[in-house]
Amino acid sequence: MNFLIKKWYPSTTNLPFILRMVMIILGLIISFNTKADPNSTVPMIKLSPKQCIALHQGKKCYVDIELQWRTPDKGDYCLFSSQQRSPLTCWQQDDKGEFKKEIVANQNVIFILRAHDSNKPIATVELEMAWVYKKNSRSRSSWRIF
Amino acid sequence: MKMSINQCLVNLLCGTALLSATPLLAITDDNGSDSNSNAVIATETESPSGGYLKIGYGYKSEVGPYEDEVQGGSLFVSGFHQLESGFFIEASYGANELEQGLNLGYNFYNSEHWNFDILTVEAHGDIEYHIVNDVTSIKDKKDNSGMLGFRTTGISEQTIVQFTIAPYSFNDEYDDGVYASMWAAQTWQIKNWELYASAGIEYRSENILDYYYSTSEELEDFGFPHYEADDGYNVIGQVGASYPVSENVLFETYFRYTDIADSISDSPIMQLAAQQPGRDDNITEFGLLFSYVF
Repeated sequence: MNFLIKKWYPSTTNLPFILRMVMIILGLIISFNTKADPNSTVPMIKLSPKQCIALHQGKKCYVDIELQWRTPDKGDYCLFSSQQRSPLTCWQQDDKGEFKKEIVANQNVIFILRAHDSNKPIATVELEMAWVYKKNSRSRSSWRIF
Repeated sequence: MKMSINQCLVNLLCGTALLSATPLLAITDDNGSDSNSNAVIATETESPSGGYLKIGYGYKSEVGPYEDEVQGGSLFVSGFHQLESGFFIEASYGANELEQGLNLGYNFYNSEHWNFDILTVEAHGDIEYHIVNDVTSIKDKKDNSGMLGFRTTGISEQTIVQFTIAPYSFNDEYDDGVYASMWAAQTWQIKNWELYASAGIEYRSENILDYYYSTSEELEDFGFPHYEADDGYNVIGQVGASYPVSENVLFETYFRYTDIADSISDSPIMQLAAQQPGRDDNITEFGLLFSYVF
């Protein structure tokens, strides 16, 4: 006696051919868009990690950051942060660079890449402060009457 | 003991911990401010309502007179939520212990560094014992003591102090007693780690301890010597550390030692309990856990 056992499970092999082709093309488009393009005409700045997590809101947060940047043209560039007026570091006749530092902050920090002779930002990225416990706002001078 | 007790089964459950004695709350009432922080200024306009719920799971080791030794996985739950009106609810539970339990309160005055609350306090947890000898057995249960009290908490930079006095008991098995506690905690930040050390003292008046630890006629008939408990002080010391793994996940570890009042330890019931395997006169607790904070 023969048994026909049909087992169903979700698989892309069950999808029609055209739908599979559309998925492949979409995948390729997405992968091309996310892959770093060394010949890109857009300045790029990348920060890792993007978040610093403290235990309590308002407390100092410590994080070792790694920042990478790239521009279409070689030039003199400086990296600034919202924590200080002077540049964190500068590069001469480069179109890419890397910067590592331990950041200590209790509010978001913005990193700005500028051309050496200009105030105009070329690219910016933000380090976000996060915390587990929100600050308790009880401590204020106030009476309560229900 | 006059009578030989060949087989004893003593089960006592007791919730004696000061609320802020828990590692879970000692660090969360932190209001230390940084005068250079914009974040601090921003909170001045925030609503006092809000809170958190923390559910943790990890390893716990606990030895004490009230329960058999605990070693293994344990659940930790704590939380605090305050409404705009000032009413709040706070909770602290471990899987195998009763800490301060669930409390309701009303925050009626705040100054820059001090909070003042009226709240319910679990001044003492349930106690249940069942003692068996060759001939007979005896068992009894004493209800918990919820009390109404007044609490003030002072917060200054890395230091927290807390005073509680509760003069009214909801337990109608005895006339009103008094529960009082003093607590101080100091925190240190090392990178994103928070280390803390705290010390506290709890006072329970004679009325309270007499209800739980004096011998009843039944116990004396069973063979226990007559005992009348006096008032007493528990002394608690704790050290711990917390590390934020992510915005919602915490790693925590703590060690706590509770020196139980002599008037409790000298009770024949407690002396029998402390002699059981895996028990001790005082409470030693260690925990290592991961918590999710909602």
